[in-house]
Amino acid sequence: MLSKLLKYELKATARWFLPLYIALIALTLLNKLTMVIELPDLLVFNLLKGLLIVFYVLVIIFTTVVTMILLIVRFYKNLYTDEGYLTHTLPVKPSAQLNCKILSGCIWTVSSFFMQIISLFILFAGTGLFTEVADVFTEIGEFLKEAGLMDNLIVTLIIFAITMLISLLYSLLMMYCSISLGSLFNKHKIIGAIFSYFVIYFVIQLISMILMFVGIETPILYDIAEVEDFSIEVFNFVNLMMIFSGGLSLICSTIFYFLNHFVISKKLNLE
Amino acid sequence: MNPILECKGLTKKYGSLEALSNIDLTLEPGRIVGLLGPNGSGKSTLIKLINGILTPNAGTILIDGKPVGVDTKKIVSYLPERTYLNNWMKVCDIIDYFNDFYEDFDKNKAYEMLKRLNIDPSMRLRTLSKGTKEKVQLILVMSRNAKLYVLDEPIGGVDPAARDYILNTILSNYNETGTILISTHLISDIEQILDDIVLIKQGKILQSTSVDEIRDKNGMSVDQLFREVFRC
Repeated sequence: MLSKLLKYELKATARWFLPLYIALIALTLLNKLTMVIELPDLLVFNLLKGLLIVFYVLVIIFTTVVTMILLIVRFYKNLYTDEGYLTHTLPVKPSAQLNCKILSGCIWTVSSFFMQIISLFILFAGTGLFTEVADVFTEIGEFLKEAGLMDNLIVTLIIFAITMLISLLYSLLMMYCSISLGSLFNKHKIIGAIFSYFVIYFVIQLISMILMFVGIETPILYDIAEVEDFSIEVFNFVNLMMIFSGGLSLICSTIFYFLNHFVISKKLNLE
Repeated sequence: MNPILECKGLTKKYGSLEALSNIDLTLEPGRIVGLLGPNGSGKSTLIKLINGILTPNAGTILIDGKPVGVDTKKIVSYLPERTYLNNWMKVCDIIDYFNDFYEDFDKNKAYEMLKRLNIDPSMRLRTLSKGTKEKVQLILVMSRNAKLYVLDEPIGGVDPAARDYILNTILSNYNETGTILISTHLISDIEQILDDIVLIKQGKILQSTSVDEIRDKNGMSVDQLFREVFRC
């Protein structure tokens, strides 16, 4: 059933995301054009070029924001407005509904990210920027190889990738959870959702601050200033911080998941 | 044979307000039942509980012997009072959607009914009038071979001329071993098709009998009875 749900979920959301991506790529190509073509040195053209670049930077940033907003709107409308009367009477488990929304959220967030990367590639291909960046990375690599730290780097990168994945789940589930909690309000469900988001945000900030203070007092982090082989310890320190924050995000995500599930299965409050 | 619907001690509260209090109700298979009561009597609450849109505070609901969940959603066909159709979809898209999710959905039947009501399947729902959307929704719901059809105010938004047509659609297309529960306050319009009635007031069931019994015993029509029971 999850695959059927996901099929319709992607169909329903693609009609928002595809135009967004098309607009992004179109704007990229337009910018590329002004970079490649030698335009006469007139004020109008320079102004136009400048405007296009500003607009491009905004759209790149907006792609991330709009992705979040579209996912929030879809979740809210499909589960907690009139559409919910159909969504919740399909012969499908609440967990499947939730998993479908999480999967589609991950798919679109990742796609938006790749579209941004592709756009930057198109824009800067042939400008020599990439070879410069590659050179910097090769140098860093060689430096680490000489210092015998290549393995450490790989471990850190793996931990980094996992932490990124967890933080993607975390931010999605936190938004979804705020909407679910907001739906419990009898009036002003959207304001309720925003309110819930800030309450959750505040509570988590508070908890991580307390944990940080506790962490400083524990020897494993404290000793870092006194070790001699500093470079290895830097890696260890970064790894530890990432594992710590990833772990915290994972715990919070689990709590968000069950709160969402609880609201969908037991506390529906459709108008 | 299991009753198709069995509620015991069913209670639903909204805050301190009791929308349904301690309801016992049993519906047998193959009947057309009118759920009748004034506004705010608890009709919609009961219907939402049957469909798992709400969870009761106390008591149990069994549908064909099973608690509300995925298994009961497979056999209950629900027409809410709201339009849940996505405006951007075409009529044929939403038919595919139903066909994909409900095993008991009969696609041919749906297209047949659309044809009879002169609704073009390639139309986008956005372009349809409110009444036509209601008809599409009713067609979707009646194209399932369900064991229990739950229709919440099915003829509320349709003009009187179309009502008879729709009632006929309901009658000629439902799975005859199934039960239909219709909530309405337009009693005179549907009186002739009802087998049983359930009268509900302020969250309590006043009466649950057959229409014949009312005619024989009380010597009046359901409409007259309703007006008498719920006199303001």
